[in-house]
Amino acid sequence: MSLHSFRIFWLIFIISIPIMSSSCVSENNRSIEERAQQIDKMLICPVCPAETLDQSQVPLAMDMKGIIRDKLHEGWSTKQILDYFSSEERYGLSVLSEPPKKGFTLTVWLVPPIFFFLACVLLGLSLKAMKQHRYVDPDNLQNKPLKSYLNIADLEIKQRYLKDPYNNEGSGASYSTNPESKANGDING
Amino acid sequence: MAELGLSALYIALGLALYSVAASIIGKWKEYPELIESGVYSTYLSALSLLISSFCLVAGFITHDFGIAYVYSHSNLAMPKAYTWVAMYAGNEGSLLFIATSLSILSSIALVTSPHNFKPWLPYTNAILMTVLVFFLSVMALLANPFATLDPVPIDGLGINPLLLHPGMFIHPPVLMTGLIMVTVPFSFALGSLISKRTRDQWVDAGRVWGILAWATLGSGLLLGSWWAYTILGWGGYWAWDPVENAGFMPWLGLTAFIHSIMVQKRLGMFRMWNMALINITFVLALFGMFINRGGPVPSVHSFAASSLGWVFLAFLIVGTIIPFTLFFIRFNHLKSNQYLESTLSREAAFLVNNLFLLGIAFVTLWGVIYPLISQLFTGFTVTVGESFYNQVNGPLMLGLIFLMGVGPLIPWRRSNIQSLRNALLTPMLIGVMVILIMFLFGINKPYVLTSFGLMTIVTIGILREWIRGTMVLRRHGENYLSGFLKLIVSNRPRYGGYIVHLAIISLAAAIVGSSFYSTQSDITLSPGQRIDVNNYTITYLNSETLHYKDRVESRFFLDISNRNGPEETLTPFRIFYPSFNMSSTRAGIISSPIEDFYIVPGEIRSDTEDIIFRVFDNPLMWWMWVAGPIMIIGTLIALWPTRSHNLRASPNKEEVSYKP
Repeated sequence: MSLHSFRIFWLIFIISIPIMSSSCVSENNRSIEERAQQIDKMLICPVCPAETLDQSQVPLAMDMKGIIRDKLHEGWSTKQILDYFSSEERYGLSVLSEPPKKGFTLTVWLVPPIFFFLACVLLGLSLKAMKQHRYVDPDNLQNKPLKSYLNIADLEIKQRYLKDPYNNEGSGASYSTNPESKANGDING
Repeated sequence: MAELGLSALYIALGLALYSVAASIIGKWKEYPELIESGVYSTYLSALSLLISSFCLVAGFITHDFGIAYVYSHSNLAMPKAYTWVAMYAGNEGSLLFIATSLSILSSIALVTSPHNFKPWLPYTNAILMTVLVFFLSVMALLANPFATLDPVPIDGLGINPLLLHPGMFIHPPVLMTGLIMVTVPFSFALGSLISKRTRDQWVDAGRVWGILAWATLGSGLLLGSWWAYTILGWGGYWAWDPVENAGFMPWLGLTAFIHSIMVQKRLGMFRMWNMALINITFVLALFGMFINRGGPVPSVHSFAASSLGWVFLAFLIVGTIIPFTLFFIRFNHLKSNQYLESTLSREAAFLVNNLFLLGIAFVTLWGVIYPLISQLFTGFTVTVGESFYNQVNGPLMLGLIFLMGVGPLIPWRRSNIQSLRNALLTPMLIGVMVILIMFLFGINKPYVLTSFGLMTIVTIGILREWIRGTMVLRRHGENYLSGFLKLIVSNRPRYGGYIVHLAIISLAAAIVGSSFYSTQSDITLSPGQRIDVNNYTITYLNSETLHYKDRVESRFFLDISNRNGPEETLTPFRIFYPSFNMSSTRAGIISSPIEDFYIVPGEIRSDTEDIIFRVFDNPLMWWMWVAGPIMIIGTLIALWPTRSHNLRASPNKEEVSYKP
């Protein structure tokens, strides 16, 4: 299998996903109940700790769900409904199940990706540092083709199990004398 | 009973204190007898705590309301079976349970410790017992489970109704044991860190206890999900609630640890990292206990909440500072004896896996503490709920699944792109095929398609290796089954790990299926009425109401017929506890590998016979509960001791001295 065709498969794999998803339904033509259920999940029941409206069964949550459905029938957008409940005179920001992606609370969204990026850089640097002092045998890595992973796996199984390799149909001769089995690393977990 | 229990508690505290002192002094002044006496006093503390726990359980069984804790967590009317487990229904009793569990685990750890670790065992013992001393002093000074009442009340206040579920017998003890078990690998690591002369001797014990704690904590979390799914009646199983997160974070830390510890076991690399990782995990476990005992964030798990938050916070701070200080002092002793040969190697892949796992743990921690940060800087509290975690952790989890597919295909030490490409080609092809087929069947959400594609890569990667291995052995005279079994036995850590990976895939499939394709509808039914929901026809036959002293049970009889299945009768019920003004529900569930039909009755109103039922259609949920047993089987296979790595102390252990 050539490098070229492998890349093509990667491309298919990656490109196919957004194309397929282009047929996703947009917000407008979903039913009111579906939208309402989504909003239920975006609001926390104000009187019960850490439960969203769709989880909660207290009367207040039921009332709020009723209001959501009424407002949707009146043609309110999801954003308007969320703003309505999270305004200061109603329940405040803590009624939203996720902090808004603006103002100070943007930090809750930004810190994880920034940290993750920094951690990736750090990992890259430490991998580099761990490699640096290694003595490199130039014709070991570049010139000799490494054995494929599956061959190593097969080899290991044979080594573990078949004490007398020469007995069997030809497959045995390849391993016990093979000096590359160590040089290629092994897969043993 | 109360006197005996309390005395046993104090005796255990004395024994634990003695054990710490004897171990340290014995090691310092080189008195083997003193060290030995410390070990025995650890065993005795376990015995003493068992007696103490037994007294508390006996107090519940005999309804001894003279004990304040029994009075506030049980009553005469509660179901008999639950008196056996009401011990951990509240703060004091669960502390006693944790302490007992820790002392037993410590004893097992000491008995089975590898004998080449013996010179450092006194340190490990001292650390284990220091943690035990903490729990015992909290009970002795601040939260006595055996405090008495005078006069003795006639009846108790009763147990929290949400705890009356079969899950109560197993979820809390497993989870608490898993959380405290993190102490054991941590103590081996730290014990080794105190000494200058040791590097890798702790690795075997650390790995085995790490895996045990991982499996225990994982089972505990899964059991909790099952409990939530069947009793809380919102059709879900995981809500990223602070207390759930508190158990999840150390589990992630352990997952990272049990992977990277293999590198040290094998190649003697990553010594610093493994040490740091187990310290981080221990800190996360302490953080979990802090959140659980009166942490500052609201949670649905307020069963063990108390005013002890600050004590646990103090312990958390001390438990963070000491190991990390020691870590930096000993930094130079933790150098690897090998350099990394290639960035495309199993060991490097493990580091990337650690990055993702700790990334998820960090996001989770960040989400748990963010309300406090926001409060501090803006004066407003915000809620960081499910959707935050799903959006931020989701991509990281996908990355992790991808690594699960790729990592095992990269050999140790080094590999090259060409061989990885060859190994990955077939799984990728089949993954693309699965995506296409799913698309043809109308599944068009990109997240779902990507994740199922990646899951296919992992599964095919594993199955292909098994099939190939079995075929090789078959050519040499085995039949399929014995060939496969021999293959598994040939490398238990590896293939046991693969089985666990399959369990994780099963779990992931359930999570993806149910979070993206679950539907929910509320239907109002009067007795005798029939209605079609999705593929099911629901007939509400009738209901019955049973009045008990402490509760009112309403059972609803429903006939459910599937379009292509037999008719089934479900009896979901709803129990109202007037003294708590609280209801608990039990859902009616028809489970199949394709989907769960889930129905739960809503509030009962006095003015009408109509009942609002909430109906869920949760695809693939079945796979979540299957994952548990598979995970345990895989773990056991991976851990089963081989002759060469026998963990048990050698029979002639007397000859091994405590001197290094």
